[in-house]
Amino acid sequence: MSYTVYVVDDDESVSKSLQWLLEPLGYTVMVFHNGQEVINHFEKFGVVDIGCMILDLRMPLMSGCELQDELKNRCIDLPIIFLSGHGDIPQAISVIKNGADDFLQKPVNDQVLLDKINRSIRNQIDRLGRAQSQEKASTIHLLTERETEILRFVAEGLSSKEIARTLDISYKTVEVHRTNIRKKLNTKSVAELTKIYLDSLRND
Amino acid sequence: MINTKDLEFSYKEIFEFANDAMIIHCAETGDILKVNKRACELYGMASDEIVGMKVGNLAKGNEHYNHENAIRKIRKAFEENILLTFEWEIRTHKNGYIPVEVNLKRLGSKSSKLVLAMTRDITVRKVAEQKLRERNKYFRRLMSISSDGIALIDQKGKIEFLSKSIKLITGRTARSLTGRNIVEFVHPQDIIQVNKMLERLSIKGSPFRSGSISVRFKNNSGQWRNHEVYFKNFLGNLRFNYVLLNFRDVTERLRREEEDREKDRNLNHLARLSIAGEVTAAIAHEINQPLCAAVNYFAGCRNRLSRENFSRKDIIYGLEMAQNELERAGKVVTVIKNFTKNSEQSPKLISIKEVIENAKDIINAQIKNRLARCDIKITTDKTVLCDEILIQQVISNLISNALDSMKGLDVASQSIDIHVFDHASNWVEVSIYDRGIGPPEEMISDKIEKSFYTTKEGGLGLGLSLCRKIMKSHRGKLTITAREDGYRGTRASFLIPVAQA
Repeated sequence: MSYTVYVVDDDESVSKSLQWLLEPLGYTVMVFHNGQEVINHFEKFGVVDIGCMILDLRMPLMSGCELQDELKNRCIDLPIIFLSGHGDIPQAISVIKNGADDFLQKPVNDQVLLDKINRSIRNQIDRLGRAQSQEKASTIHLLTERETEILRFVAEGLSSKEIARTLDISYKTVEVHRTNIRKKLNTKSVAELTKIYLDSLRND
Repeated sequence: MINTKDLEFSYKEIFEFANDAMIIHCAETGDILKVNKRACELYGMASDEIVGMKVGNLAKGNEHYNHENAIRKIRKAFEENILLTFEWEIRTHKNGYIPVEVNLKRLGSKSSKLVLAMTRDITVRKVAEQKLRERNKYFRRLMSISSDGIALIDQKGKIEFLSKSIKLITGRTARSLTGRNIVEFVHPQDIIQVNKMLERLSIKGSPFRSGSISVRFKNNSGQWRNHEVYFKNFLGNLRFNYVLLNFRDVTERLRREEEDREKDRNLNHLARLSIAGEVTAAIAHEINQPLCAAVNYFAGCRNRLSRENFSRKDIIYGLEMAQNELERAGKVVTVIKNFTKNSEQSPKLISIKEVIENAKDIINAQIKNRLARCDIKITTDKTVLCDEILIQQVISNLISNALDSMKGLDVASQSIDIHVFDHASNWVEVSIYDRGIGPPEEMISDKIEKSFYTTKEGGLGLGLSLCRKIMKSHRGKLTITAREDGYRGTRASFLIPVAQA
């Protein structure tokens, strides 16, 4: 699968060279010349799930920092790598505090840039995965108190018989509860049930 | 037949009523024996008062005009029997002194012992002569104190006359130079020029009457001094067959001018450094961008080459792009280096289009530094005679002003338009339009002429006055007005004459 890299730089030659560098490495590269162009594009075509942005700091119309804020406002959570010739330390600190992954100086070594891009994308994938499992974990609230109790025993590795004995209820009742749990959490595997249970603990 | 007695009578009549004063002296003693009517009038005394007086009594009585000298003259006239003419001063009745011209002549033969003195009042002539002398003296003085040297030379360059002032100018006396050839004192490199001038002046009926040349003359201490020589041709004139030269030592003036030029050069350098200094970051960026792009192209090439099936065409493209980018970076470096160099360039013939295009990197740096936008429209490529760097300085300065006047605006509306076009047939105009607050009153009026006038906090107040000077030296003109095309803002424009082919 090809990840998308949004390159935003007002300098034609820089953006074109980045495109020429990155495309053969399997990325889909889209070039923009200022923040406003990016926003317009996103409004029209939406945002990809996985990818990253390479932003210049100083651009007419909408600078890199302004774009970063704007994306935040719009809850667009693409990883951002700043690549600028103007950078100074306070600026670097400011954008990183504001959530950017990295701040690189032009000209940049391609290996360094690629590492950063890859790491950002990997992090994003991880983040997405986590978010999904958290979403699942939050479905635990759909369970009744008894079902949650039974899920805990399942996660702890007890069999239905053992649970029935522990709770002093019938094996059949336990099985009915387990069916309901599987339905509510939309999973059949014990492993996944266990994960959701553990995630939910972490959430609390 | 005339009666001798009548004749004697008529001599008497002539003597008595002659228009000159006449006195008959005794040749031995000089005593006055007889006087006529005019003589009485001249001395203001009656005939019998004068007769019998010593000749010395009638003379002024100073060391020249006294009794002894009078006697000597009378005796000389008597002995040599010649008409002795000399100037004299007599004493009149009122103790006044009158200049006279005296003719002495022996009367008759040696035996007569008589000498006739004819005396004429020459007061009027004397006054005129005195006046003339004074006038001459005045002119001589004028010539000697004037800082101009005046010389007459013949068509071979021989010095026929030199004013005394030559001493002040060259340290040599007029006498020591007269008769020598002028080229002996001319700098070897300037001799051709002098000879050429003489050659042209010597042509009969030459229309080449007057003019000026710059020549170095050697002064007494062996130094070369710059002179400006104005010449007027009188060759071929019968009574005044010379070339008249007026020369003036302009060494000091040239030195001062050179100092002024150097001062201007330094100020211009300072102004350019200040412009460049304001946009150092932008300039660094301008260089960094192409470097960054080149690095990317090289990396792209390496990545492609490390695969089995790379495309040659692709690699060549990448290398070409990298080369272009590096050349671009190199050009920016050159432009900035030239712009910030402190050197006087000699004006050269160059297309105005080229001047503006070469200035683009600096303009870009300035524009990008403010994130403003700039449109350049060039519709002429006429050739002008200019010092490119100085014109770039003017443009940068005007752009810097334009950007400053838009400081308060949001970035998106900061825009500058540069138009370069033909203005009538023999001018090109470069106009810079901004969208700012318009020119301050004082900018339009005369204050702009003055150095160190500034409306900017922290400004040197030098920029525009230097721009004016630069335009002046290019025979151009700088105008700053409010925009008249419907937009708010300032229009700063300058005209440069098109170089005549």
